[in-house]
Amino acid sequence: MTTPTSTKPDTRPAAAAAPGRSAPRRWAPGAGVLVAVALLMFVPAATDSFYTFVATRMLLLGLLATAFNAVFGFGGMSSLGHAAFFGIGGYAVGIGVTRWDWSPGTVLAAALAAGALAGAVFGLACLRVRGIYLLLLTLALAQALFGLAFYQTEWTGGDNGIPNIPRDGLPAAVREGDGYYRLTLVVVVLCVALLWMYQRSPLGMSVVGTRESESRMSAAGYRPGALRTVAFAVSGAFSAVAGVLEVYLQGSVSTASMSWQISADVLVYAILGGARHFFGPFLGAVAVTGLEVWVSTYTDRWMTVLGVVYVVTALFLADGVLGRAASLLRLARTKSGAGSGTSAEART
Amino acid sequence: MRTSLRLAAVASAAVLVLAACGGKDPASGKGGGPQQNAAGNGAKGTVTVGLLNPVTGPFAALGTDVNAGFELYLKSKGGVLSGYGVKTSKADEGTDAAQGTTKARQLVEQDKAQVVVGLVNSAIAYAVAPYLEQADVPLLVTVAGADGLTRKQNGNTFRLSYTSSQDSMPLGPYACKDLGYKKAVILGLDYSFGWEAAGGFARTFKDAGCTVTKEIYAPLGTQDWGPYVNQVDKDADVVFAVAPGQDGVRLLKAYRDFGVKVPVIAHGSTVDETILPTEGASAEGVVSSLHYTPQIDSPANKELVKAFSDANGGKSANQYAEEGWAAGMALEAALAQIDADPTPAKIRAALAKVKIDAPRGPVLFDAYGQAIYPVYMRKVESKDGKRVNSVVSTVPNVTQFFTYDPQAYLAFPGYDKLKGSWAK
Repeated sequence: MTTPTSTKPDTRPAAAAAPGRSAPRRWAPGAGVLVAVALLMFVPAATDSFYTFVATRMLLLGLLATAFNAVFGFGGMSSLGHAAFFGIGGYAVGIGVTRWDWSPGTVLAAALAAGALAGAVFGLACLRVRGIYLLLLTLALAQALFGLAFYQTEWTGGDNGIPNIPRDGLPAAVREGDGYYRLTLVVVVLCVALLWMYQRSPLGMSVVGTRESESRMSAAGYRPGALRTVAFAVSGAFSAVAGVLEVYLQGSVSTASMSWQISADVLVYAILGGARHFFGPFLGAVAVTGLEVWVSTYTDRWMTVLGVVYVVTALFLADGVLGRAASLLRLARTKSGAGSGTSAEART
Repeated sequence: MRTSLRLAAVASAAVLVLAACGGKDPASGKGGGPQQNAAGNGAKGTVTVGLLNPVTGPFAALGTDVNAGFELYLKSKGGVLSGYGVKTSKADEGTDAAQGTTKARQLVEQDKAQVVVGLVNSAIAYAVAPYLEQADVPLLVTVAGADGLTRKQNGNTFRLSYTSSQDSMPLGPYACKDLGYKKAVILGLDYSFGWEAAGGFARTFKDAGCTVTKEIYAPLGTQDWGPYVNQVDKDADVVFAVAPGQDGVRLLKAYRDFGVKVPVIAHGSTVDETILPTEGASAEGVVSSLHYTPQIDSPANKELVKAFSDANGGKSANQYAEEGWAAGMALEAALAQIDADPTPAKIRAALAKVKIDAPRGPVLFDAYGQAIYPVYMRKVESKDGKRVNSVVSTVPNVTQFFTYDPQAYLAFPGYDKLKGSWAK
C-alpha cells in the first residue's frame, strides 16, 4: 500500500471518464463533495421525521468513525477504547448543561479539550505497546472511565444516566428535528474537513509514516511516540464532538454511551467501509446504521443478519467496501489497457 | 480450493440469513414483512399499540415474556379491546438508549402508535420517556424500575410494574415485627436497581425499630459470590438479598455452598419464576416480597397461568408475563372510556382513571402514574415436585411511597446517595 506524498502516483481517469483531462479531474472530487453536501441539506424535505433522525445519527456516527480512523487506519493502531472519547463528549453535555447551564459553544470547547486530553493520555499510556496489547490497553483504559461514570452517581447518575438534558442553549431554528439535522450536517462537514486537512498535512503524513515504518521515521529524525500521541489526541477530540452531537440529539446520556460495544461498533464501521480510505469508515457507519434500522424492522434476528454481513465482509472485502471498489476500478482500467494507475481520490 | 471454500461460506451465510428471517414471531404473520399485527375487527375502530421490549441482549427473556403476556391477553379477547381492534407494532428495545429511542421514534412517527407499552432497561426508559412526553404519546411501562420515572404529577408515563423500592418496602416491617429479625445484613448488586431495592427495605426496616449492621454490594455479573457471602456477620438475624437474574442464582448457590446459616429474605426478583427452577434447593425457604406470584388464588390469575403455560410448553407464568397481561387489561379499561377516535391524549386521560382487577389483584394509578397494588410476602416451598413462591401474607394497596407522605418521601435524598449509610 503506497501512501501518498507530494509526488502523487500517476492518476488515470476511470474507464468511463473522458481520458486525458487532468485539471477537471483534480477538481471533480471536491465538486462532488460539495454537491453531495448540498443534496444532504435536502434530506429532511425528502423524507419523514424518523428517517431524518436516523440520518442525523448516521452523520454523527460517521464523524466518530472518521475520527477513529485517524488512529486506526492512518495510525495503524487498533484502539478498542474510543467509546471513552464519545462518552466524554456526551457527559460534557450532560453535566455541563444540567449543572452549570453551559452554552453549546462552551460544551463544544470543553468536549474538544477533554477529548484531546483523554486522547493524549491514551496515546502516552500506549507508547510502548503494539497490536493486540494496544487493543487490550485501550480497552482497559476505556473501561476504567466507564467504571468511573458508573459509580460516580453524584455526577453521572450511574447506569440510569442523566435524563432530560435541555437543548435550550441552541438557537430555535436548529433545536428540533430538521433544524438539528442541518446543524449536525454543518458540524460534521466542518470536522471531517478539518480531519481531511490534518490527514494531508505534514503532521498527518508523518503519522502515516510511523504506521509504515517506525524505525525509518525515527532514523529520519521524527519522534514516533509524539506522533502517535498526537494522532490519539486529534482522534479523541473529534470523537468527543460526535458524542456531543449524539447527546444533544438524544436528550440523555448514560453509561451506555461509554460501553465497549461502541468501541467495537466503530471498529466494524472502519473495517467494513475500508480503513485505508479516508471516507471508508464514514461509509461503513452509514451502511451499518442503515442496515441495523432496516433489518430490525423486519426481523427480531437482525443481529444474526448483521453478523453474517460482517463475516462476508471479512471473507470477501478484507479492504472494506471502498477498498474493493478501488481494486475493481483498477482491474477495469487494466483490462481497458489504460495502464495500472491507482485512483488517488480514493485515498489520502 | 479457495473458491470452493468461499462458496461454502456464502452458502452457510445464506442459510443463516434465511434462518434469521424465518425466526419471526409466528403471531406477526408471514416472515419478512414489517413486525405488525393486523387489527381485529372492532366496532368502534382501531388503535395502534407500539410494543417496545427487548428481544435481544441480556433482558431478552424478560421482554419476550412481557410481549407474550400482552399478546395472550389480546388473543383471549379475539384481538379486540373494548370495541377497538388492536394493531400491535413490535420493536426491539435493544441494549442501549440510542437504539431504544430510535425504535420508539419509529413506532410513533412511522407506525403511528397511539400508545407505547414496554421498556425493561431503566436507562433506556429514562431516554424514551421524555421523547414520548414531547411527542404526546402515553407510555405504559411494564418492567423498568427506576424510582425517578414516576415522580412527576400528570405526566404521560404510567407504570404497571414496581418502582425498585416499592416492593421491598413492605418487607421491612414484616421482617422486623412479624418474623422477629432484629439485625439485618444487606447483600445486593452494585447498581441503581440494587441500591433502590435495598434502600427501600433498609428504610422501612430501620423505621420499624430494627437495625442494618452491614451493606455488601457486588458488581453486576459477579461470577464468584464467595468473597461477598463470606462477609456476612454470623450473628446477624437475617440477610436481605437483592440480585435478579443469573446473579441471584450464583448468590444463593455460593450462600449454601459456604454453609452460611443466617436465614435469607429477598426482593422478589431474586427468586422469581424465571430463575427458580435453576436455583432449585438453594432457594428453599427464602421469604421474598413482590406484587405477583403464580400461586395467587384468583380466577383472573388462573386464566393467565393457564394461557401462559399452554402457549409456552408448560413454562410457569411470572411477573413479566403478568405485567404484559395487565397492560392489555389496563388498555382495555382505558379504551372502554373512549367512545370514538382514541387519540393519544384521550388514551392518556383515560389511563389515569383506570382501575383493573389484574391477576395480581386490584390495580390503579396514583397521581404520578405509578401503579398501586397489593404486595405479597412469599415463601419458596416445594409443591407437586416443583418449587413455587407460596403466599404467606398480603399487604394491600402499596404505593410507591409506602406509608410515607409523598412530599416528605420525595424530599429524601436518592437511594444512590444513601447507599452505604444504612448500617451507620
